[in-house]
Amino acid sequence: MVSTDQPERKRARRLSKLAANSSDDAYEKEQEAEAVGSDPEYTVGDDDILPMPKQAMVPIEQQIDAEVDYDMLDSSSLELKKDHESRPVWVSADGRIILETFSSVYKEAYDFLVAIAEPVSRPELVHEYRLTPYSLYAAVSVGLEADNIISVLTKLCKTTLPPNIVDFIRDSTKTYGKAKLVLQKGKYLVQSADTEVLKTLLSNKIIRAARIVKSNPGDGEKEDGLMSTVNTEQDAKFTFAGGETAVNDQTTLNALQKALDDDEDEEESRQTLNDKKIFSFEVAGEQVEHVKRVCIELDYPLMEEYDFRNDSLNKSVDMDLKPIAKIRPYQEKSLAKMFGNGRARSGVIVLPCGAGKSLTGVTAACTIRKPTLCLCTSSVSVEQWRYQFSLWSTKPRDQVGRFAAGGEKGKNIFSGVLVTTYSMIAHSGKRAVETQKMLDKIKDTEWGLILLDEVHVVPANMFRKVLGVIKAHCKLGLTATLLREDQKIGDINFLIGPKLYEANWLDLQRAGYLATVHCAEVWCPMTGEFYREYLTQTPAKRKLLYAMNPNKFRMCQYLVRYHSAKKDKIIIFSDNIFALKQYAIRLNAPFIYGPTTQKERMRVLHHFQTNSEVNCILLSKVGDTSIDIPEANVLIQVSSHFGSRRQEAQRLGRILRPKPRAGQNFNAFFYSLVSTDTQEMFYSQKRQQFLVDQGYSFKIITQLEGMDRDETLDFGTKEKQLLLLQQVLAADEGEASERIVDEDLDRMQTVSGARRATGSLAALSGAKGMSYREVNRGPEVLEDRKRLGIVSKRHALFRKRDNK
Amino acid sequence: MVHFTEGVLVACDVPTKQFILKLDADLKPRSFVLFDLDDNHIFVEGWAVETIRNNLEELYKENHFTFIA
Repeated sequence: MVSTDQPERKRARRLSKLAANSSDDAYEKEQEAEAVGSDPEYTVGDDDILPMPKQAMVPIEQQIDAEVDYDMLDSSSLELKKDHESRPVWVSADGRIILETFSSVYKEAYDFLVAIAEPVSRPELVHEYRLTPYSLYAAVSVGLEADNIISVLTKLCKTTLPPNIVDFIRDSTKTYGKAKLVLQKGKYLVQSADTEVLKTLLSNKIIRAARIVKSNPGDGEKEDGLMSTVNTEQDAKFTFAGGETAVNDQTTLNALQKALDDDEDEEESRQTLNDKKIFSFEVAGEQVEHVKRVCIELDYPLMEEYDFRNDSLNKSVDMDLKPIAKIRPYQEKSLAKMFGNGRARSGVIVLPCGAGKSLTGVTAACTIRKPTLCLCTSSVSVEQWRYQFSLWSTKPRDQVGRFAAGGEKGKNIFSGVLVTTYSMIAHSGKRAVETQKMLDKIKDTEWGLILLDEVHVVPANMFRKVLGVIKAHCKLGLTATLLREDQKIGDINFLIGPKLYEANWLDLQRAGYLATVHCAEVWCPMTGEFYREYLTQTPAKRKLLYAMNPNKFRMCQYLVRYHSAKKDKIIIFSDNIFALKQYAIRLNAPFIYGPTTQKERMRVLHHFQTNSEVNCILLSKVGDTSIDIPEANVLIQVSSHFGSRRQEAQRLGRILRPKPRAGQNFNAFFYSLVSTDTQEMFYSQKRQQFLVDQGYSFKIITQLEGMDRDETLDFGTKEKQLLLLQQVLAADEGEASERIVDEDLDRMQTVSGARRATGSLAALSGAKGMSYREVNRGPEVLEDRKRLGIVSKRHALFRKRDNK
Repeated sequence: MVHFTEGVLVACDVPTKQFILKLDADLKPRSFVLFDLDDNHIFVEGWAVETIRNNLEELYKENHFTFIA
């Protein structure tokens, strides 16, 4: 779908960039695979795909005003306003915005900037933001307009706004957000404040055909047949479930303008807003999909709003928030953006892990009170979402429907809330009759709201398919890290909706909503023998060698003992399965990885949470997302997926939930163990970037006090280290890296026929093999291999290719 | 009879010594390691110092991530 008129050069640059990131892309792909399921026949028909607007096709780095005159960046003769000290912002001509967080109007300025610009880096004292077309699209869709943005920015800025920034804001907001698609009383209306926009849209053949024209023009209709209504929505204050104060888009803006005590044109701007008329025409329900598509092609993407309070066609669901559910200020803020004008907007809310994404989702569902479909990534998180619904809302757990593989399919599946996985909906293979029936029913239902959990992991094609299949009035995406190494994040903006809100991690930490985490990178020197092998081995073996570095293990063991003694709960992460098992055996702790059954996972997690004897568990990358372990407060990372910044953030999220034990400086610990002088150093530094941008600082630890004297740690002698080295070298590289076994797909009742193949008896008994080798393995490893053998679909020889 | 060999004594950490040994093996037949003394010390030909330094420099670069905004 790359537009052909794009210069070859740009494409080449993009491709080379992709190639450079390929190892990190692999993580995205794996995570996608986890969500989609390894479905080889997975294809998306052209009909299912929603087109993308032109702006979304341009790579992000080229969107930011490419023709900036670099002379303008020369700020040496820039004049400061007289009262510049009370103004917290500086806007640069290249679209960067710098904000001082120690300013008295920081809170207001932050709320405003996060609505119009993309946060780049947010350390303690000075923040950096960036204006992009995406962020301005988001700003427009939450009700801000070019004039508002410019006037507030002018007030905040220490200097006069660069003229090209003003132009940039006007250009970017010219077409976006001008037209809305509103569902009101069962009728689809295309609305706009500007008749010209509607006329442009109506000049299109398809839209004109879809339009419903009333035979007798009533009052309020003009000659051209456009209905006009006086805008009343700005005054309509409205409270969402559990919220205490009414919300309104203007609140933020007004608060800010008051704070700046510069009230000359405030009245003016309010005046113009209230006078505004809204024009609309109605389109036929069955044509809505076409109209949406055409509008995107015309570069006037329709913003979707759902007037759920006036929707009498879909029956309401009886659910509300329990009185115990208290919404925190930032959750309120994010919901205020969503329900800003009394209608429900589609979009994405970004909150750090552990900051209560589920409560936000449940509150949204309780506000809309229409049938809700909740999509998540695995069956473990299906259960956790059902639990969250029963915890916060008045819906009992058995009334929350569950549509996932493995386990009984509830009878209450259509009682208002249904939780399912992405792969259940998007899987295109054969299904059992029962499953197919239910899927058809889901497709036929008109949903009030879809909640999309962990929205970043799902590939664009998958979304288009899911969103093409399911009819929903409002889409809400939830994520902690709107970040991908493969630059595909922009797709989400136009497929679901703009980013409505993004919280600042440090602010939440200061307010006590997140644990204060002490981040440390622990340097573990390689032993001579391991490093000698490292220098000569293949990349796959290298990974294994630096994960199994005896010094690293000793560090890990020391940390585990230290924190166990303090009664901390420890999670150890290892992407490398070989290392995972070795560590688990030596530390005598349970572990969870891909092939672990759902039942066993639940049991291990339950033990970890309740049993005081089990203080430590090991997780492979299946534990990265959506496994909720509020008790854990220490995280040790042994091996990880190359330089994926998101994985690092997701993992940190496992321990971010606020901890009851207050009074200490830090109450959670994040250790990343790194073997020095290896590739791991490079990846480790790259991985930290995202968290550093959120304001976290990593302390480097080169030596742990008292470790050398501790005789009881493993691998103290050269002999033991050499023995380990032998085991590592003998290990099968393919086994070391994890293949994602999709549990959902695995147990989905797919109809598979028998496989037949011809072969000689010699070949079947292994006599035709090129070489024969016998390696002594422990009984556990053998057993696991057996288990793996059943599920492995790929021959061992090709596994390496998969992992590249 | 007294033998003497001119060279440079390199003191380094454990992995670096392994790296030097690997470099030595790679450069065969122009080997430069004269005596492998212990974990942290190695005695090499004088001309090799520059080569070792350059190669180490490269190794560090390879393992170091620089953030490009």
